[in-house]
Amino acid sequence: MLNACILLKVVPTKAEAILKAVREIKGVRKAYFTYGRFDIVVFVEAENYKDLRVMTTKINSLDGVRSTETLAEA
Amino acid sequence: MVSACVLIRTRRGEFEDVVKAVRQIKGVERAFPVLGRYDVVAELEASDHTELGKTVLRMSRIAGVVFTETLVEVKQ
Repeated sequence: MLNACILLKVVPTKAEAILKAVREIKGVRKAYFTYGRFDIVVFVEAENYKDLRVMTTKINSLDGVRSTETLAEA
Repeated sequence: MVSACVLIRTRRGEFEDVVKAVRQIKGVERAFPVLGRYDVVAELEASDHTELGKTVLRMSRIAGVVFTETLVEVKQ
């Protein structure tokens, strides 16, 4: 399994909806609001890098997501 | 319980030792080496913020760790 940590910056008014939607995506282990430079942290487990790309694309397409930074397991 | 995500930068080529050392620390639920702007990511769980702070302090003292950024969970 491939671990990854995805860091999101989101539009504040959409944050609740985004967190809810992210938690429903297959492979998402944990997701929560954070203090600091990012708004939401997401921990996922993917089969492979292709599967991870499917997840990051889905997250990126959520309305209100400004930017994401994906840290994939080396 | 309070969770946190710690982003770690290590001295060049030392991320494997750092990952091993980080995994030994109490309160670290999971740690893995990563590609991108950081070298290691750690998932922390603590009973409260004070304990979380101690864990992060212990991590920042590990040989080879040069920078840490902690993202603490906002409790709803």
